[in-house]
Amino acid sequence: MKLGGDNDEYSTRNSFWIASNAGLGILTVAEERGSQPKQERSQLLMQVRQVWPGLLLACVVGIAGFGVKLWMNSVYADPLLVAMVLGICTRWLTGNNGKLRPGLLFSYRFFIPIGIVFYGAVKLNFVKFMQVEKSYIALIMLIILVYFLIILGLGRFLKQRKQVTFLTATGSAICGASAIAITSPAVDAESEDISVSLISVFFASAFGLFILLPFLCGLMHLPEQVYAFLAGATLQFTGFVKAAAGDLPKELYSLAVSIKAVRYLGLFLAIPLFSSLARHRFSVPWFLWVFLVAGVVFSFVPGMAQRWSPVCKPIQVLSWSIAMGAIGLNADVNALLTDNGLKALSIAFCGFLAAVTVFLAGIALIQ
Amino acid sequence: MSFSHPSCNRQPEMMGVPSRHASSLRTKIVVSFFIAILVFGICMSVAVQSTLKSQLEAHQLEAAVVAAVVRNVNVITLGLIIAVMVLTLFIAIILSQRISVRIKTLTDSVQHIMNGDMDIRIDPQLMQSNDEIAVLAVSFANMTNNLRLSYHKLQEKRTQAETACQEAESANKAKSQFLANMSHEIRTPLNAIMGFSEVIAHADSLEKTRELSTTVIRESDHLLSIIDPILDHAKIESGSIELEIQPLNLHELLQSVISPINVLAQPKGLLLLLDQQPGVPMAINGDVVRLRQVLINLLNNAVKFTDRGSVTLRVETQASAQENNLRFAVIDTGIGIPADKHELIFETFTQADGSTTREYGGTGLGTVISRELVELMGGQMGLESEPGKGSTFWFTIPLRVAEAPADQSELLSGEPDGEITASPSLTVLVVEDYEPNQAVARLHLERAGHRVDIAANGEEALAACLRKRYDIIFMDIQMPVLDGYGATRRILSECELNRRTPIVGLTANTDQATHRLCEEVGMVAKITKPIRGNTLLQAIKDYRLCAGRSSTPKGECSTPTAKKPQTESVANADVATDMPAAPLDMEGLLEDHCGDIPLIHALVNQFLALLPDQIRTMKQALALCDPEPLAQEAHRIRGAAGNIRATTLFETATALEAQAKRQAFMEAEKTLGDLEEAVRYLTEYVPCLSEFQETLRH
Repeated sequence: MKLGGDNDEYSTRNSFWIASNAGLGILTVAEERGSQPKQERSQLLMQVRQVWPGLLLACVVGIAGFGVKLWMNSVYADPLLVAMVLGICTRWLTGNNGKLRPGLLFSYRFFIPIGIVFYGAVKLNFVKFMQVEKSYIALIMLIILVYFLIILGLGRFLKQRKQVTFLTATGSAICGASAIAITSPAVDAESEDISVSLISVFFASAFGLFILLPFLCGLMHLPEQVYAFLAGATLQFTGFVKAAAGDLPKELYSLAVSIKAVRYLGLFLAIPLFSSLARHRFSVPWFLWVFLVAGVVFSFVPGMAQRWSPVCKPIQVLSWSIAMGAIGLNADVNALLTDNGLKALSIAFCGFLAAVTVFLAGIALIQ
Repeated sequence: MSFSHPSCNRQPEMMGVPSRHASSLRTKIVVSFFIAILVFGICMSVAVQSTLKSQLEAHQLEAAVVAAVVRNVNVITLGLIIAVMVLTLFIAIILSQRISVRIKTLTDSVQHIMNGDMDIRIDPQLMQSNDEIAVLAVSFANMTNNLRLSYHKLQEKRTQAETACQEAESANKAKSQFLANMSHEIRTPLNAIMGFSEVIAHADSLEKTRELSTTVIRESDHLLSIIDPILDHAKIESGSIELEIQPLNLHELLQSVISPINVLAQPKGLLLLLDQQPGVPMAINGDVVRLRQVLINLLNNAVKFTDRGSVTLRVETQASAQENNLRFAVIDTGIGIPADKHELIFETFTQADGSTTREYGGTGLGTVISRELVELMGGQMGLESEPGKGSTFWFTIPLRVAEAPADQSELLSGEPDGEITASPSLTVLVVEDYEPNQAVARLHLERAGHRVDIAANGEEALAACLRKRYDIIFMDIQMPVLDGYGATRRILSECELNRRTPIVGLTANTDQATHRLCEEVGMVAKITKPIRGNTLLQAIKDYRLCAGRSSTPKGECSTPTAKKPQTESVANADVATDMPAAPLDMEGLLEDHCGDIPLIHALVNQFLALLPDQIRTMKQALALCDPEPLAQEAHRIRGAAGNIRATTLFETATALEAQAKRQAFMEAEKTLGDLEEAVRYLTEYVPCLSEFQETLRH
């Protein structure tokens, strides 16, 4: 995490603890308000005072990202990505401000789990997964596996930071920014790790959406169904999958989105795996269980999805937009110009190319 | 794939930046190019596709046709974009490689300099182009050159400082070792002095006291001989020593040097030779005292370290283009000195072998002082020696021929003019703040029959002089309240009674400045401490001579330090007729032993030490009327007395021997009494030998 010219590990940890304390304090302030001694209350107020500037700015940026999405109504305008880019631009224009740091860290730590829970409710549709053909599911799993193996192998070979490698792997193999957001707390990632991996995955995905997939489609005369499958199986961002399949017939569009949804199941492999690798012990974070429960409830309880999804989705998107805005505000764009940035880009591109290659080989075998 | 060069990666780590923030120029160039071309490619792709679609749709073509056209166009345009991207990436890598290699070369040079390799040269190829890196390389080369020069200068200074530090450390070590040695050397005689003094304090017989006092005096002399070189060296080091250049008779000087050394050489069976080369002038200008000191020291060392063979003093002239020198060389056939120890010989506080002090005694400063004195005289000193082949210590001094040689017998001669005799009783004021010194002066003067008053400082002396007239005043220089200079000035100006009283300074300072100051304030003479009885008496004698010539200016009558205390022969002394004949024929003794007073002293003491037993034996023989042991002991005493030229004793012992042989016991008893009286007189006379020696030494 780049914290400016005078940043150091101590100040980062300090800020984190201040943010955590403040977060905890805010969550419990209502319960304990009556019983807290005066001294603790004043301490809490001091912590709130430290947190609010960063939190406010992250909320503004996150809402702006969400607003852009609503305003443009374009599949390219992923609110998470827009919020992060806005955050990065704001940080780049205004420079580093130490006063914002506690609030930004608090925003990231607070809104990511909230978004994850609602994400399970909105996107984790087990019924849809079961409708996909078994051979396709096998190919999707193979592609996820290839993504993981290639990215983890390259990350190890290039001596990339573990956190960046894990986030790049989940972001590439599963669902881009969302997966990165879900996995980041499980692997103890810092803002810089998140921004580097997210931007790398974004560039790889954009390259696939705008250049590689259209080129391959034309070059290899791929049928529309295969193209939809290719987009759903290899493109990292859900928005980009929708964009790629936007011009296709509705059933192919649904196929692409369904295939993309199947990739969400990879989270149940990725999060415990990477969390264990990062923390050297098997660990499944609490929010993943909630995420799973929400998915099961919204998939199998009749009427739940239809009734509550319209409510849950904006909350999920807004939560993550704010979190991504906070990440962007805390991240330094120059981080991409470092060796780690270059490695992350290389890994993301190689992973994507390998996935596309495996898909083409797999589809050839299936057909 | 890694685009970062290891040397580039090192930089941020060295600067304390975490490694995950490590970055390099190559990375930045490649990433920037890649992102730029990717964004460009995406924009191109979007623009082409949207334009194409809208154009084709405007012509209301079938969807399948549109799709086919778009697909074909995509293949071409996107293929081109991909090709351009790959090419651009390739160019970016090559370009960054070329830039980073040159920067890496510079970085490597910086690394070398950081590691202390200042001799690194910048690759000239780096400076050949006209770009910024070439300018940087040229600037860096210039900076490196300057840095190299500074570094080398710094290294040189550091080496000098380290050498100086080592020298200082070794000098300090040598000094400590020297102090340890000297502490031992000084404590040994001091121990004897203190021990014997304590015994004297509790002694119940005068005879015993005198006998012990002789030892105390001898050990004091030894102590003085240790301390003197140290003080000499300190004076030379502080630059306070001044030469007294005056005409001198070289022949007399050499003879005066050879004679006492011969006394040391003879017992060892060494041949002492004087090799005076032709052309050596007799009269030269020089400091006779210092020249003699150097020669004595070198000869003394030569004899000390030579067990058999000879010691030669060679004197010759040495002409060169610039100047003529007089070269003195002391050549011995002694143990020799290894070449690696030659310089040590002339280093302060060191001897070639650390055990030398223990084995041969001495301070080890002799050669150091000699070299310093020679250099002070404008000459040089050196050494040529090999172990087992003897040594040659030589020195040169500028040859300055004098018109006529001075009469330097007083300074050079080892022969005394005579002994100090008693003077008429005088009233003497001793001004001295140190009580033991007061007591010494009082004892010496009262023993000579003078009346002594003591003042502890200048003020007390002034008060005493206002009350009473003194025949002579001995004035210490350094005193509390009022020092000797001030007191002298005030006595001579304010005390009517003592305006003409001669004042003799007492000081431990032997430098010329003190001497001049003493003269300036009106002192007639200056006596160097330690105070010896004979010196005081000699000063009184000089005063008396001076007093006899009342018109003589002060300056002419005094300065015993320059003239040295004189001794007069008994025959010439004013009161000689009142005094019994001297127990020893000093003139003959000095002739016999080349003026070696310590040797004479030792011989007399040895003789006196045996006498009590011999007298006891003779008394017993007389009581038993046994002539044989009586004659035998008388014969022994006669022989020994003859050796030491104890004339009275010799004659008495001769008479006693004859009486014993004749068995004239009545006469023998009387003669034995005379002999005892003669022994007593000789015993009383012995301390005067030390004073005699001191007189000669000065």
